[in-house]
Amino acid sequence: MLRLQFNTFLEEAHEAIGLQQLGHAFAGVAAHFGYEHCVVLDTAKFDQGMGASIVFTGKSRTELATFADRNAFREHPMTHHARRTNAPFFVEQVRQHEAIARDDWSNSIPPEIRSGDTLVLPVHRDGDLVLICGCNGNAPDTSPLARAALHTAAHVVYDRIEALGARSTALVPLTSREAECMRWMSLGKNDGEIARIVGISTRTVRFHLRNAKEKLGAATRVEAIAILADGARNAG
Amino acid sequence: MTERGFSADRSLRAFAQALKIASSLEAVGGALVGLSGRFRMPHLFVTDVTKVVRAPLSAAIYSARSLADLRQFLRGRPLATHPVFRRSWFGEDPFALSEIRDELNLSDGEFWELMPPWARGNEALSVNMRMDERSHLNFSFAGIGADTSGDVRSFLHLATRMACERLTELEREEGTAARLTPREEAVLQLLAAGKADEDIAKALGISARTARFHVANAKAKLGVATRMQAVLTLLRKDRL
Repeated sequence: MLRLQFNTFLEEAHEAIGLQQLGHAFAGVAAHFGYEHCVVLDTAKFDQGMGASIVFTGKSRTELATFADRNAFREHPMTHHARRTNAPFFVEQVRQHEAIARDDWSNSIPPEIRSGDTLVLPVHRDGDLVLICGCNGNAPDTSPLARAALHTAAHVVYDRIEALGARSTALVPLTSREAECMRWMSLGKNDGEIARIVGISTRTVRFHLRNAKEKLGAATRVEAIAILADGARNAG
Repeated sequence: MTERGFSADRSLRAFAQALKIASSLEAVGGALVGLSGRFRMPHLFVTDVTKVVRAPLSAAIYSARSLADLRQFLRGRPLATHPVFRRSWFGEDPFALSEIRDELNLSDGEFWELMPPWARGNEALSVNMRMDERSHLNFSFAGIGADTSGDVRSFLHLATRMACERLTELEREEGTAARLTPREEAVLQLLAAGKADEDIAKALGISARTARFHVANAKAKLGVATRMQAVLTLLRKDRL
């Protein structure tokens, strides 16, 4: 039932304490309709380069950022279209509308979305484009209802980003111990070394790192470090 | 167009909550109006499209304004050829009244003639929902200066679907509850109050064996495996 699925999404989005977790909540409802990959872009940050504007991606941040910067995503017909309309649309519709040859088009969009269907969900506030959510799947549900549900979810994601206060993850409240362990880890120390430096047991180090990972909504330690680094950069 | 102060998060959560506790068509309609009102659509008319041709009077099933008014309007009108219903039979995308006017190239006078007197001057968003092959409901959200932009269409399309799912759920629960005999219900109520089979027997003046017999039947009817679930099902229905 879509009602229960969407209620779950609303709960998860509400409880998310980090952008990564929020992104996963969105990816969950997208998966319900057969969309496997999701990306959330803060369009207000396009000026600062693509890396800064990626709120969430199920895939590699760096690859997407590099690709998007190289291809001037800001000026991409897809982005222009999202500025003009506050209704969901498929990437293929833009290609047809702009009468761009299939090959040229393929080269201009990230490899992840070259096959299957890609749905773009523009979020507008006061007539300005503030957020773009995109989802791609091999044979997703492309019905009007699926589009409506994901578009609404995208709006909720935007509101939650605003509510989190931070457009960066710098505000995720890590305890000083958690932050300290994360810092040493980012310098390449292993758990045993961190334990000796900080003067706690290895088990406790793992405990702090696991908590930090959860707070940041990261699946792995590497992801947690990446989120912190990104947050620091965005905040600065 | 959603404004800066608007929060889809808060609005949808409030709607989901209202829907969760809604136990009647009236309450479900109220939950929808609570949401659509934010976009200057304080009116909602729900029509059973499968009935507009043969039984137009029972086609009107909900109105946030007045059901009698809606019926009065539907009486004696060639509804099968009415542009709103004709459009409702095709496609799933929500549409605005003004789109029909533009498509048919109607003058204002001709157009408003098609509408109920109290809807004149309103813009409306029409959402059609088919839960299975035999059902088709039309939800028309209306108001003066209604916001029918892309995002509002998405919100109300999703919300209408959620509302219909809730209605289906209510119908099913009603069906289940109707089949319990008063005795079975009484036994479950006592069970919910923490009574043992013997206490229940004493309270109802029956044997413990008979009490167990009623519990077993109630369980079978509710389609649950344990007494706990049977009581929960009943409580959930009562709270609605």
